[in-house]
Amino acid sequence: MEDKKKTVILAEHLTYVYEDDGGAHNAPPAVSDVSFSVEEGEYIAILGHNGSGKSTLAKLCNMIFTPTEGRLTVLGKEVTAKDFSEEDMFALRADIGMVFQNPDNQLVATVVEEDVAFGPENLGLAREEIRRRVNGALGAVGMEEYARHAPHKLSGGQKQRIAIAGILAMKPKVILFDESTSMLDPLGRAEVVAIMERLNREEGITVIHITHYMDEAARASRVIVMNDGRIAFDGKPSEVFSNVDKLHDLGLEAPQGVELLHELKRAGLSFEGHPLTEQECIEALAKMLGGGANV
Amino acid sequence: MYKLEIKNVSYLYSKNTPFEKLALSDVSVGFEAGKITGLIGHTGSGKSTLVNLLNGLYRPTEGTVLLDGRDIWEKPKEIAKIRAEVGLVMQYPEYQLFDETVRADIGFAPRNLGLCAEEIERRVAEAIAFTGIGEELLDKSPFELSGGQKRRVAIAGVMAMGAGVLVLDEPAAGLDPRGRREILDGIRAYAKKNGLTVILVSHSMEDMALYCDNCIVMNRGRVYMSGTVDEVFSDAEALMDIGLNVPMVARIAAALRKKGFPLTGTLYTVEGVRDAILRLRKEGGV
Repeated sequence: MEDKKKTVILAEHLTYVYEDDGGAHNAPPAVSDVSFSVEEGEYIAILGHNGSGKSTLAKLCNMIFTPTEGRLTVLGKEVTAKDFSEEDMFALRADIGMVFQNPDNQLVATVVEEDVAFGPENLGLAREEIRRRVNGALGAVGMEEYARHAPHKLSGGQKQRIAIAGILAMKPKVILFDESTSMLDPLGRAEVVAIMERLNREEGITVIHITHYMDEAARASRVIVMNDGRIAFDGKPSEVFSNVDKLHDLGLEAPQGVELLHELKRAGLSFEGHPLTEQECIEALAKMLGGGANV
Repeated sequence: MYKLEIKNVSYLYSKNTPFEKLALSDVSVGFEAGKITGLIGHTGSGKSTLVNLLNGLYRPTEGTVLLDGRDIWEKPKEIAKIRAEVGLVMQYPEYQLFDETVRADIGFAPRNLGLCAEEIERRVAEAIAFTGIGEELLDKSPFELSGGQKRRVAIAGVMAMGAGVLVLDEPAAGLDPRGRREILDGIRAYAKKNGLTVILVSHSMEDMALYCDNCIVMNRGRVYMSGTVDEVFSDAEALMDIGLNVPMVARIAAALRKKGFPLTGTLYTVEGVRDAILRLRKEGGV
């Protein structure tokens, strides 16, 4: 890890309004005056109910949408600048990949390795370099032995791993996961989350993970909660999830252990700090019960 | 009494080919009338095969499927009648919407049943009330709606069919926590009001613990456990043995019991574990 952290995404007063086909009524902005920055190597979870603007925010960061207002700088390049060209955008997109929700919607080839090679082929790289990248990417997601398989016969989790490999073959600095675990079974979810965490930890890739699963968000180093197009919370998971009542108001929940401690606090018990993980909750409860003092 | 019953059912995929695969092996299990039964199991455990057998989409290789005590394959040509009796909401049903308006989409099944306009209207109104679809959406195209709203329309469409049994495969998958609660609350309220028998398939053990009366756990094509939610969830270790996720509070309660804190009661919901801890405190702790 380098000492000096670079800012990979800098959003200043971003607003995005979906254009209405008819134009008869103005849709409210999906993202409204949002400012934040993401440093290199961060692992951020973005939470929010359906329609809170979190996916729109991700698509702005990935330049799928252009901000209606505000300034956006990605990896040092201001993408909202007047002279930011389409070529600049394509060049930059190789550095900021996105994995979508539906595993069936993002694989394009009939053989796994060809699918992974699709991105680097389009970069016009040499054959050997493409081969090297494809093998490396499949290795990183633990799918080498499936290189010659047909994608449609894989499980949902395996398909998402192939989609991730396709992004990795572009050698990105940032990967956005837009509810990439939401259509998977528990096993597939665990596989994909493990890969996200390893890419972040070992390869230093900045991970932004949009999810409805609070237990997944609790594992990130930072949580951003979106509501009505604005940032409602931005902080460490232990801090954000300590606002249980507020989260309920926003249509969200805290991880079950935190919910349990919250219920017990309401019944008059007290705990030190902000236990977050299952283990921390067990320890806090054991300490409280072991204390033996009557209510 | 069982509304639906599976007796000694086996199911083979691709029979008599090199790809032959036994998905269900001599399964016997019943679904109690008027109750919500959860169907739990890993991908590949056989639960989806079971779901497809329940309304006659698949025909058992061996054994029988009984609806109200009668073999649904007694008259194979009349299997369509069974499908109107056992409504199936598939995974991601929002991909199956097709009609021009929400009203027409939800009313499709009752229209096909040849019901009169008033009855269709009544069923649509009831279905949207329980799924939380605003009346203002009825004349919109279903394709203008958000993902969560589309899901509700699709579920409402199956409700409007008026089936006595509702089988729902992951009805709340991919929704935010409030959306999950609203949809599952609506399904439960609708089922209780109309005396429906519900079969709920989900990977979310938290939802199963909250919404089901009974549970059936499938593993490797067989029934691994079955009973009331209390019976099944109180054996958290047996569930973890086959790699199923039990709710986090159940794991917390199990860990505390291991440490010597004698928690008792409903140890798989937040409220249940809370009450158990409060009871233990009152009794003077350990």
